[in-house]
Amino acid sequence: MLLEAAVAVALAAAGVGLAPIYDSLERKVRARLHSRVGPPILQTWYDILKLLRKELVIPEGGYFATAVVLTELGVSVGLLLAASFTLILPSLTTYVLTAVFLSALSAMTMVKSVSQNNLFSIIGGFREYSIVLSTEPFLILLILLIGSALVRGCAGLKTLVSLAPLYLTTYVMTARIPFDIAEAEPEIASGIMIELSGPTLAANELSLLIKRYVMAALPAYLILPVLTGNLAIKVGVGLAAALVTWVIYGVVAVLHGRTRAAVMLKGTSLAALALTIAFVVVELIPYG
Amino acid sequence: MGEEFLPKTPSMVDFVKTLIKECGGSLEFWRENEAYVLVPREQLRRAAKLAYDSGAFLKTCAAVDDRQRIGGYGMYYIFGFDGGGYDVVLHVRVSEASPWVPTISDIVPAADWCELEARDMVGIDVRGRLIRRLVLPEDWPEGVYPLRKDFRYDYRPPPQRGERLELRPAERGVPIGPYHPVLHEPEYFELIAEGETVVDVYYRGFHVHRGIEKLGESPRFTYQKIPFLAERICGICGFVHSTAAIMAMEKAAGIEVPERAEFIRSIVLELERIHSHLLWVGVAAHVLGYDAGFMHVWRVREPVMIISELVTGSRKTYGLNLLGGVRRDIDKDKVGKVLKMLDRLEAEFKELAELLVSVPQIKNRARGTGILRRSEARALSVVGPVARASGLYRDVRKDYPYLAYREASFKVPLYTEGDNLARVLVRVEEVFESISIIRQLLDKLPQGPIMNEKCSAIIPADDLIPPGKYAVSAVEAPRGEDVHFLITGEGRPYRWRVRAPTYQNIPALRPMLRGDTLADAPLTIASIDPCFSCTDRVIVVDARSGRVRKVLKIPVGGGCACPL
Repeated sequence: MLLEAAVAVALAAAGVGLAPIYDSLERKVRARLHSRVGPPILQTWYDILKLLRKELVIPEGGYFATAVVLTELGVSVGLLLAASFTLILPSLTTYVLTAVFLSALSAMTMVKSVSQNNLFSIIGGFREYSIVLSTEPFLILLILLIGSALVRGCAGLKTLVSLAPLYLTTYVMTARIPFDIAEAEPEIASGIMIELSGPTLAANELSLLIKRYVMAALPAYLILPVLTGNLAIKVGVGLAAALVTWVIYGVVAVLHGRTRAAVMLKGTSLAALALTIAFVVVELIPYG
Repeated sequence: MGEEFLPKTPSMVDFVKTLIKECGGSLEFWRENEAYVLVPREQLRRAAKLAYDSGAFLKTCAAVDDRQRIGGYGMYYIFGFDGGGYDVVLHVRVSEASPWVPTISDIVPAADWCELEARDMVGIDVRGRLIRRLVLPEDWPEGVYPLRKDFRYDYRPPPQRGERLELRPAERGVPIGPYHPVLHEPEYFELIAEGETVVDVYYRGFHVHRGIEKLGESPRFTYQKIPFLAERICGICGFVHSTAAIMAMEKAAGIEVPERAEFIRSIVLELERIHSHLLWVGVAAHVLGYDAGFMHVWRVREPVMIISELVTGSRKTYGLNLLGGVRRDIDKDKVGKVLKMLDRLEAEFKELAELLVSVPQIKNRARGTGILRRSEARALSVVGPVARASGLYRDVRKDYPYLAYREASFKVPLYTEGDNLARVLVRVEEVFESISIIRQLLDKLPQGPIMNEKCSAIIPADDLIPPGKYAVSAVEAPRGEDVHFLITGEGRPYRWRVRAPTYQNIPALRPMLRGDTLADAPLTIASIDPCFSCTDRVIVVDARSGRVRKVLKIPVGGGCACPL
C-alpha cells in the first residue's frame, strides 16, 4: 500500500517534470510538419524559467487574478495527483476527487479571466465557459461511471467503449486548435492570458501544461485499472500512453484551423452527448 | 494648356461634349485617354452625377494649392471610365477668399474620404456634409494646412491642447488596435458587439503619417528621386507605387519608354503580385488558426524572392525604375532560371492551395462571412480583389492597358458571392494568372535598349519634364488600383497625389463586418489585405511631443457619406 502510494506520488511528480518536455516535443513535431526545424527538447522549461526570473508585474485590478493563477497551479497539481492515484490505487474516492479537481480547475480558469480588468480577457473567459459547458459534464460523467463500474466489480472489456468519448472530451479540454478559442491570439489577442506576464504567466503556462498532461494520460489512467492489477504494467503503459496521446493531439492540432465559439458549443456537445449515451447504454445492458 | 494628342477614345470625346453642354465649363486639355474639364463650382454636383450615372468610378479627388501657379485653390475629381478606358478629371477652381466646394459624397459615396482629406490638408471647406477630421491628429492646430505651399515641409507645429470635437460611439466596443496581433500596422477599429455579433464598426486610421506627398514637393527631392521615394511608400507593393509615379512623370513629359523596359517593368509587377498574394494567403491561414498553412506558404514563397533577386538585384524594394527605362536587364541565362523556378512555384502552390481550401475551418469560416454586395462595392468604388470578389469586373491591366499587358493573354477571376472565400479564391487564381503572364512576357521579351536615349546620365532627367503638365496614372497593385496624379513643377512635382488601393477599400469594411461574429472580424479585416502604410502616407505628425494620446473614436462614414 505504502509502495503504491509512493509510486502514485512519483508518477505525479514525473508528470509535472514531463509536461513541459512533452510540450517541447509537440513543438518539435509541429515544426517538422511546418517544414521548420523546431526548438530543443527543453525549450518549454527554458521559457518557464526565463519567465520566472522576470519582474512580477501585477496589472491594475489584477491582484485577485494573480492569486487565482497561483491557486490554479496548485489545483492542477492536485488534479494530476488524483489522476495518478486513480491509476495506481483506484477507489471511488480517487475517481470523485479527479472529477472535483477537474471541475475546480475549470472554474478557476473562468474566475481568473473575468476578474481581470480587460475586455479581451473577459471575452476569453466566456469562450472558456462555452468549452467547459459543452464538454466537461460528459467527461465528469464518464469518470464517475467508470469509477462506479470498477467499484461494483462489473467493469470489463466493455468499458473500452468509453474510450471514444474520453478522447474527444479530453482533446477539447486541452484547449488546442481548433478549440483554443479562449486564447485565440489573432482574434482576441491571447484572451484569457492577455494581462499575465513574467512569473504569473509562467505559473499559468505550467498549470495549462499539467492540465494537458492529465488530459493526455486520463483515458489510459481510467481504463487501465479495469483491465489489469499489475503495477509495472499500469505505470509503464500509463506513461507511454500519455506520451503517445500528447503527440497525437499535437499532430491533430496542426491539421486544423480555429473554430467559432457557437459552432464549437453545438458540435462538440452533440458528439460528446451521443458517445456518452452509447457508453451508458453499454454499461447498463447487463442490468436491463 | 492645349491639345497634345488627339484623343483616341471616341466615347471620351462624346462624354466631354455632353458634360460641357449640360454643366457648362470648358475643356482645359486632353490627351489619348485623359480629359481635364474646368467645371464651375455651382455645376460640380451636376457634373459629378452625370459622370457617376454614366458608369464612372471616382478614383479619387485631389486638392491643390494653386496660388503660386494659376491663383486660388483647385479640386481635381478623377473619374475613371473603366468600360471606355479613359479618365475625365473635373477641375473646380475656388478663390482664396472663399475656398469651399459643395460635397459630392451623397452622390458619389467614394468621395467621402478624399473630401475630408482636402479639408484637412489644403483647407478647402466642403459644404453640405458632416465634417470631421480624417487625416490630421486631434492635437493639430486649427487653420494650419500642411499641403499649402506656405507650409514648410519640415515644420512641426506645437500641439494644440484644449477641448476637441470627439464623435465617440455611445457604446463601448471591442477595441481592435492600434496594436493588435492581426493588424501588422497601427490602426484602430472598434467593434460594437451584441454577444459575439458585430452590430457596428468605428474606425480611426492615419496613425502612421510620413508626409511623403509633401516631401515629394520639397527641395530635397527631384524627379529622378521620386520613384525611389515612392517605392518606400509600402514594403510589399513598393514597385507598384514606383511604377505608377514614374508612369505619371513619363506621361506628363511625353518620354517614350523602350518596349523591353516596359516588359521588364510588367514582369516585376507580376512578381510583386505573386509575392503579395502568397503573403496574404499565409496571413489569412494564420488568422484562422491554421499555422501550418502560414508556414508552408512561407516556404513556397521563397522562389519568388530568389527570382526577384535574380531579376532586380534585391529580394524586395527593387529600385529598378529610372525615368525612361529600367536599371537592369534580364539576359537569356536568367530567363531560363526564372522559368524553371516558376514551374516549381506553380506546382508547390497548386498543391498548397488545394490543401488550404480543404481545411474544414478555413472553408466554413471564410464562406458566407464578410459579405460585400455588388451595389455597395460599386458605390464605394472598391478596387482589386475586393471588387472582383463582389462581381465588379475591374482590373486596370484590362481596363486601361499599360506597359506590356496588351501582349499577354490572361483571365481576370470574377466571383459574385462577395464573401471572404471569394476573396481568397480570387487571389489564389490570380497567382496562377500572374505566373502565366510572366511566362508569356519572358517568351516575347523584345530586343532593344532598356533606357530611352534622351534620359542618359549626361542630360539630367529632371530637365526633360516641363512645368505645368498634368498626368493621371494607374497601376493594378496586388490590392487593387493604385492611382497617382501629378502636376509638374520646376525640377520636381508641384503636386503629387497618391491614392493607394486600401484607401478605397477600408470604407467597405463597415458593411462587411456588420452582422458577422466577433471571431470572424479579424479575417474580414484581413480579407481586404489592408496596407496602412500606403493609406497613411500623407502627413507629418508631431511624434516628438512624447505625449500619450488618447485614441479618437470616429465613425467610419459619418452623415450622408456612407448610406450603406
